[in-house]
Amino acid sequence: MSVEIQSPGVGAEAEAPQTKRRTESTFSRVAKYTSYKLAMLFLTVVIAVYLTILIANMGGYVDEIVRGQIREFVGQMLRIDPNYQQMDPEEKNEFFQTQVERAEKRYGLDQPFVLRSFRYLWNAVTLDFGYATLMASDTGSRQVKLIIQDRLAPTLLLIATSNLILFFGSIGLALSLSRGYGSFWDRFVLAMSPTSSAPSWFYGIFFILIFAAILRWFPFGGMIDSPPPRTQWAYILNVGKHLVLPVGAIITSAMFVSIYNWRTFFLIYSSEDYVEMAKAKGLSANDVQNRYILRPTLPTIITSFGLLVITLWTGSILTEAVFHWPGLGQTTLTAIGLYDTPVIVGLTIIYAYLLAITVFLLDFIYALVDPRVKIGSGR
Amino acid sequence: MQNLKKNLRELLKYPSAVIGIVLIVLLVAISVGTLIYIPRDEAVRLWRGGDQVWGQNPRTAPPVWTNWFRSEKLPETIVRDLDTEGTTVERSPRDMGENLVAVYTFEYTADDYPQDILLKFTSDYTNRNPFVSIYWITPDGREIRMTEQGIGYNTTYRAVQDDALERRVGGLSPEIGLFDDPNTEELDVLKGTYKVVVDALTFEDDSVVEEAELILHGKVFGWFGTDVQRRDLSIAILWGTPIALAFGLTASFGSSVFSMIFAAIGVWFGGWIDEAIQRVTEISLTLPFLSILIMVGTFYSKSIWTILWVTVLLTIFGSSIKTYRAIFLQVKESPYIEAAHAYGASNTRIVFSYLIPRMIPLLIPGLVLGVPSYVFLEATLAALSLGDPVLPTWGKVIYDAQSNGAVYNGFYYWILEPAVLLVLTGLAFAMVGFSLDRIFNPRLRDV
Amino acid sequence: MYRNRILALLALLLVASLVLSACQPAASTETDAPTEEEADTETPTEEEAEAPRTTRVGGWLDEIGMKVVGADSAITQIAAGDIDIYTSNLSTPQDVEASDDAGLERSFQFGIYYELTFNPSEFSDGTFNPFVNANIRKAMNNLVDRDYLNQEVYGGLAVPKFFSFVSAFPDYARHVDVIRGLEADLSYDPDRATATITSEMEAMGAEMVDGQWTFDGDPVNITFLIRTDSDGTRVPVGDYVANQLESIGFTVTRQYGTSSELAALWVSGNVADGLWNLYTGAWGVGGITRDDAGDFQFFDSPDSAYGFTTLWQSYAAQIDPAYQALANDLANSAFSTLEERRDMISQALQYSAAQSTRVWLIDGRAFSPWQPNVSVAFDLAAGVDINPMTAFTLRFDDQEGGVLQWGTPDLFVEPANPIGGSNWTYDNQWQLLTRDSAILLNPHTGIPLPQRLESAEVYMTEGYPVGTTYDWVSLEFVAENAVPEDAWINWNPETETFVTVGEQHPEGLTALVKTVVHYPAELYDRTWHDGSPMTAADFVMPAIMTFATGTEGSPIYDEAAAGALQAFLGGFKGWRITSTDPLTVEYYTDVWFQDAELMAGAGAATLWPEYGYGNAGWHAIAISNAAEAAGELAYSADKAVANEVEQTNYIGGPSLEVLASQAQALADAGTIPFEATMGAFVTADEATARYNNLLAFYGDHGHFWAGVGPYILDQAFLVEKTAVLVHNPDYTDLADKWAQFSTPKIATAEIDGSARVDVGAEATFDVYVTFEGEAYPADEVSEVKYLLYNAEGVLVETGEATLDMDGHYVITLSSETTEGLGAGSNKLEVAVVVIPASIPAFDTFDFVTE
Repeated sequence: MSVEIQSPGVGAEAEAPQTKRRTESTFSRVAKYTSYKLAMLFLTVVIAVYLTILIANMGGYVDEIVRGQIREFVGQMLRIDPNYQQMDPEEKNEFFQTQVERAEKRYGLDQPFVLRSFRYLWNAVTLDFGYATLMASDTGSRQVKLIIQDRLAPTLLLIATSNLILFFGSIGLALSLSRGYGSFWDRFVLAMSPTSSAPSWFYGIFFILIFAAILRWFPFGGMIDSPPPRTQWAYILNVGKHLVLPVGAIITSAMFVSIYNWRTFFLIYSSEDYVEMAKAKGLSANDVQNRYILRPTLPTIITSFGLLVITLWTGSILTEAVFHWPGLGQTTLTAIGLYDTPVIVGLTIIYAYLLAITVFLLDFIYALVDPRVKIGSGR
Repeated sequence: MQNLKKNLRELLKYPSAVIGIVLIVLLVAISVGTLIYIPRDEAVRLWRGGDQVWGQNPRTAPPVWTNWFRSEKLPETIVRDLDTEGTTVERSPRDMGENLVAVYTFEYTADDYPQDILLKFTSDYTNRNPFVSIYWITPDGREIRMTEQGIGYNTTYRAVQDDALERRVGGLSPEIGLFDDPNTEELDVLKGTYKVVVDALTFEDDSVVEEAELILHGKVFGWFGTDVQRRDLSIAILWGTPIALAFGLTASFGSSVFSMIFAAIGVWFGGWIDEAIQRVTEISLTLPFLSILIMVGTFYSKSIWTILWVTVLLTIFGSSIKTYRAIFLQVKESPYIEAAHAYGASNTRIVFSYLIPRMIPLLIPGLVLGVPSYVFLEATLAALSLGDPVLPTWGKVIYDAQSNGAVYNGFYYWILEPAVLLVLTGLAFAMVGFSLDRIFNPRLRDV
Repeated sequence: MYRNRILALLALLLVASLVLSACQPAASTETDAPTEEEADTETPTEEEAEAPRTTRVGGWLDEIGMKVVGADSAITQIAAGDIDIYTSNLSTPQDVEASDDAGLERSFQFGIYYELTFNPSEFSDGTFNPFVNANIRKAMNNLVDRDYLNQEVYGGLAVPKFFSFVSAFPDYARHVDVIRGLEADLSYDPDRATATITSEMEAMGAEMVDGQWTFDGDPVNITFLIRTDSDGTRVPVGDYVANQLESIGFTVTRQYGTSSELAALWVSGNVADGLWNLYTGAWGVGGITRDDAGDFQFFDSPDSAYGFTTLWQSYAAQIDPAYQALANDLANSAFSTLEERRDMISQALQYSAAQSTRVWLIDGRAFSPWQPNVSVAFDLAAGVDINPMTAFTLRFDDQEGGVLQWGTPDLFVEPANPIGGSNWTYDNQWQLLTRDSAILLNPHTGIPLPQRLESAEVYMTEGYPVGTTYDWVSLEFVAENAVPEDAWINWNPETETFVTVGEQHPEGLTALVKTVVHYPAELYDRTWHDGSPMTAADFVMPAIMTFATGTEGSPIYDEAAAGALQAFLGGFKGWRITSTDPLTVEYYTDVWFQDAELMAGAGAATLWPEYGYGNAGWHAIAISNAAEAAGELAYSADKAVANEVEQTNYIGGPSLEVLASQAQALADAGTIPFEATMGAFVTADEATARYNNLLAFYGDHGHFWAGVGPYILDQAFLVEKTAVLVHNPDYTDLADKWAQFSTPKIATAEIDGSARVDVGAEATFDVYVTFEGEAYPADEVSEVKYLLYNAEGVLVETGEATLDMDGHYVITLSSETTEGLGAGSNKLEVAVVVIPASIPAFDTFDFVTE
C-alpha cells in the first residue's frame, strides 16, 4: 500500500479535495506501485542470475577448460590401468575417444553453451535445483538441494550464533558508549578498532595455537569428537565445545569496529536539537534513549539486520577451512573451483530471492517506522 | 582550501591526532623512500631472485633483534672466501695444473649451532676436473676430514647432507658434530676460533679453482628475518608499505565515499534514478564475488591493481549503499533540508553540502579500517590462489606464512611482523579519526 | 579508577603471553632438538628373533577413530597427542624438521614426479619457437641443477631424476648401469648448455643482440606455464628455470595458473597456436609398477594414450621411426627373453634422451608421520593411506588392542558402493580396513603375496620371458593352453546364464596363460561382517557382475561400465570353477606379465568378491542390483546424473531407505539373484537368512557396508566427517601374519679406500652393504655393480664387485685400468640391488690418480 501520507504544511501537489476518490486512488496507487515494484525486483533477480551463469562459465570459455580437464584426467587414469596396456594404438585411441565423449556428454558439452545457459536460468528461476555435475553432498546425494541442505544446519549454527551475538552486542554497547562520548571506554574501543581489520581466519589460527596446541582447552577443529558421544545431550555439549573457538574468532575479528560504527551513528542522532530539548525537560536517560534516539535510528538498524540475516546461511570460506567446519562457504569455494554451475546457480538464486524479499519489505518498514518518509515519489 | 587549513589547525590541538599524523607521515616517508631506493623491477628481481640473490641467507631465520629476548644467543651467518682478509691462500704450481691451499679462520661465539655449513666452488678446466680435500680444525686442535671429492664448474658441498661425515662425527648431524664440545655430555657449543682447510689439485695447465666460498648459515638474519625460500623479508615489508597505503586508502575511501554519494543522489532525486541504483546494487550483491575475480584473473590479468579496481567497484555497489539510503531517507525529511529546498538551493548543493556532510563521521571508521582490512583481503585472495604472483606485498607474506604453517612451526616473527604493522597503520588512522570525529561534528565539540 | 587497573592488568597479560609464546617454544625446541637428533628417525625394529606368536586374531587395534585434520596442524596435533597418525602425504622441508623435532616416526613414499614439458611444434603464425630443435631441448637438461632444486625446494628429501623410470621401482634397478651412464651426459653443466644453445640458435638464424636472443629483429619469447596449485613446489621450480633461461638471453613470460586454466592450453588447446612453449608437468604414482616399458610409448610417441591431443601428435614430426616402432614393441611386450628386453630398453633410453620431449627433474618423496609408540608397514609408492597392508600391520608397539586416532585431510568425499563408488584416496582408507583380498602386494617390491590363497599354478606358452620370485606359485611352460569347452567366456543377460567356450568358439580357443588358483579349505569359515558365512556363491557373483553392468540388454546395463568391459574382454579367454570345496578356479587370458605371481594374482582377483571399489557379499550386490533394475538408484555417477536418480551409496543419504525397502522385499520373497546360474549355489531360505542378516546389520550400524576384513565400519558420520571402525573378532588370521613388513629392508652402501692411487698400480676398494648398521645377508643381495668414470667424466668401466663375506664386497681395478685413467680426479660409483626392497642403494667415491 502506498504510504504517501500528506505531511501538513507542505502541499507539493495541488490535489482535488474529494477524500473518497483519494482513498480509492490511494489503494489503486498502492496496488500499482506494489506490482511495479515486484516486477522490477523479479527482473533484477533474473538479470542477476543470468549474469552469474555467464560469469561462472566465463561466457562459455569454461567448456574449453573442462575439455582440458577431462582429457588430462582420463589420460592419467588409464595410464595406471593394467588391462589397458595390452591394446594396440588404434584400439587405445578409439577407447580413449569414447571415454572422453561420455564424460563430455555428462557435462552437457554436447549442447552449445547458450542453450545450456537458458536451461540453467529456467531451472534457477523455477527453483528446480536439479543435479550437480561433479559435486556430491556430504550424505552422498548429487541433488543440489541436498548439497545445500546437508550443510545448512552446521553453517547456521556457526555463522548465525556468532553474527547475531556480534550484531546485538555491538548495538547495545554502542548505545551506552554514545552517552559517554570521549570517556575512557570510548577511546579504548576506538584504539582497539584497528584489531578488527584482521579477518576471522587470521584470529582462528592464533586461537588454535594458544587454546588448542599450548593450553589444550579446546579441540583443534572439526564439529564433533571421534568417536562421537552416544547420548543426545553429550552430543550437543561436544558440538558446543567445538563451537567456542570459531565463534570466538568471528566475534573478536569484528567486535570493536562494529561497536565503533554503531556508536558514531548513534552520536549523530544524540546531538539533534529535539534530544537536547528532551534532556532539558528532565526525562531519564533511558527514556531519552528509547524515544528520541532508538526510534529514528530504527530503519537503519532494521536494514543492516535484514541484510545480515540473509547472508547468515552463506558461511565464511576461510574460517570454515581453518577450523574444518562443514559449512556452505567451503561448498561455494569447491563449486567455483570445479566450475559446477548447477551448484553455483543454486546458491545464488536462494540469495537473490531472499534479497529481493528483504528489499521489498524494507521499503514498507521505513514508512511504518518513520511516517515522515515518502517512498517512490522523490522530491 | 581555506577551511581545510582551518581544520588542520583544529586537528593539531588534539594529542592523539598528533601521534597519528606522525605515524602516517612516517609510513608515507618509508613508502616514498622504498619506491626511490628499490624500483619495481629491482623489487621483483630481488623477490623472485634465485641462488645468486639470497643464496647466502639462512632459511626461516627470525630477526637479529630477537636475540635480545633470548638467553642462548643464536648465530648470525658467517661468510669467508678466498679474498676475505684473514684467509691465507697459497697457489703452488704442479707438473700439470696447480695446488691451492686455503685456510679460512673465523670466531664462533654464539650459544647455538649454525643452520648448515656450505662450500661453494667455481673452477675452470677443459676436460679434467679438479679434486678437493676439506679439513675442519676445532679450537682445541682436533682435525676432522670433511670430504675428498671431485668438483665441476660450480659445485656446492653441503656438510648437513654428507652421511659419511655424519658417521665420522659419531652419528650427530654434521653442523652439530663439528661444533660440539667433546668433554661435556650434553650438547653445547665449543666457542673459539675455527679453521677450515681447502686443499685443491688441478690436472691441466690452465685449469684453476677460481673461488671457494665458505658459508655458515646462521639462525637469525637482518631486520625482519627470512622466509622458507631464504628471501629477506625486509623487501616485502618495505615494498608492502606503499602498496598497502595506496591499495588500502583508494579502496576503502573510494568505495565508502562513492557509496554515500550514490545513496544520497538516489534518495534525493528518487524516481527512476533511485530505482536504477538500488537494482544495480542488488545485482552486484547477488553476483559471486569470487567467480568474477577468477574470470578477470583468467582473461585479463592477475595483477594486484586489476583485482583492486574490481573489488572497489563491487564494494561501492555493496550493502553500504542500502544502509546509507535508509539514513538519507530520514535526513531528507528533516526541517533544515526542507528549509534549504524552500529557499531554492540547487539539487547538487543540497546533496553535497547539506545531505552528505551530516554523514561524514560515518566515513571515519571506514578510513580507520581501510588500509589494514584491504591488505588482509589481499592475503585472503592469495589464499584462494587469486593473489598477484609477482609483487612482494604484506598480504603475500601473511599468506606464505600461513600456508607454510608458520604458527605451528614456531616462526611467529614471519606472521606477526606484517600483522603488527597492519594494526599499527590502522591505529595511526584511528587516532587521526578520533579527532576528525570532533571537527566534522560541531555539536560534539562541546560535549 | 578501579576498572582502569583491571584493564591495564589484562592488557599486560595479553602482551606478555604473546611475547612469551613468541620466544618460549623457539628456545625450548633448541635444547630438545640436538638430543632428539641421534634418535634413529627410521622406525626401530623390535628383535625379530622367534618372538612368541600372538594369539590375537584380526587387526591389532580395538577401535580406530578417523577424523578430518588440516595438513598444516597435523604434526602439532600428533605432538599434542590429539591424533596418533596422519596418513596423507606431507613433503615440505619444514614438515620434515617439525616431525623430527617432535621425535615422531615417519614413512617415506614416492608420490608425484616432476618434469618440464616442451611444445616442440612449428607455430602457425611463424613466431620463432626454439624448442622445435631437439638439441636445444636436450641442452636444457644441462641448464637445470637438479641437486639445487632437491636441496632448496624439496629439502633434500626427493631424488634427482633424468628419465621417466621412478628411481624406487624395479625397472630403474634392472637398468641402473645404463641409466647412470646416460645421466652423466645430462647432468648440470651451464657452460656446455650455453655453448650448444648458442650454436644451435645461430644455425637457426637467431642473433644475440646485447645479451638478448632475437629473431628477425624481435626478441625470442618463451611463454612458460607455471602451475600454482597442487603442492605449491612448481612455483619455485618454475621461477628457477625461468631465471636460468633469462640468464642465457631468452625473454620469458611467466604465466601462472591452476591445473584447469592451464589444461585448456597444453592438453586440449592447439599447440601450433603458439600460446605456450614450456609447462611445469607432473605425474602421479598409484603403486609400485614392475614393468615401466610402456613409458616410452606413453611419453614420447604419437601412439600414446594421449595420442589424439595436438601436443602428442606434434611428436610425430620429431620421433625417429625406429624409436616409434621400438616403443610400440616394448609397450606390447613384443620380446622373448629378458636380455632382449634389456637391450631394447637401453636403446630406448638413448633415443628418449636424444628426442627430449621432456626434461625430467625430480622424483618427489613424501611422508606420513605417526607417534613413536605406533608402527605400520608402508608401501614405497602408496604410502600408508591406500596400502592394503596397513589394516594388518597398524598397531601400538608391544600392546595388543587400544584405541587409535587416525587423522586424514578429508573423508566421505563421494557416494561409496562396491561397483562404481568413490575412488578417492580418503574413502579408500576406511574401505581397505574393512577389506580382505585374495592377494596382498609386497609393499617394498610390488610382488603379490598369498593372503587368502593356498597356492597357484601358472602355465605359460613358450617363448615369453616369465619368471617367479616366491614359491607359492609354480611356473610351467607349455606349447599352448587349450581352453576347455565348458569354461565360461560370456554372459547372456536374457537367459541369465553363462555362454561357454564351446558355444561361442566351436572351432576351439587357446590362451597365452592358464592360471589354476587353489583356495585353502578353511576359506568358508570366514563370515561377512553381518554374520553371513562366505560360500561359493560369493565367487560366482563377481563373474556375473563383470558382464552384467557392461552388456547391452542387461537390466543393470551402464554405459560407463561398457568401456571397462571392452578393455577386459581384449585379453579374457574364460573361467572354470573345477571344485567348490576346497575352491579351485581356472582362469584363461592373453594378458601376461614378467612375474608369474602377478598373473596368479590377477587370476585370483577376478573371482574374489571385490568389485573394484570394495568387498560385498552376493546378497548386498543383489539388493543394490534390484534397486538399479527398478531405476531407483544407479551405481556410477555418470548414469546417476544422466537418469537424474541418486547414486547408490551404501553408507548414507537417500539411498539407505531405497536399499532397505528392496532388501525387505527380497527377504520376504526369498529371491535368488540371476537364479538360472546362482540357483545351483544358493537355496531360497539361505537367501532370506542373508538378506535378514544384512538388514539387522543395517539396524545396528546404520549402513550396508558389510565387508570381510579385520575391521568393521561401526559408525559413519557423513556431515561431521568422522568414522569409527572396530575390531572384527570373527576374523581367522593371526594379527602378526605380516609383521615382517613393518620396515622396508633398504640397504645402505658405502665405498671406502685410499683417495690417492698411483697410475698403473692395481687398486682395491671396499664396499660395505648394511641395513641399520648390521651386515646385509649376501643371499638377499641380487647384484653389486660398480661404474668407473675417468677424469673427463666418461664411463670407462662397469663390473660386478666380488663378495668377500656378508655385507662386505671388494672392487679391484686392474693395473691396465688405472694406467688408462692417467692423472686426474676419477669417480667410482656402486649400485646395490637387493631382493626384499626395490630401491637400489648408491654411493660414490672420488679418488686421485697421479
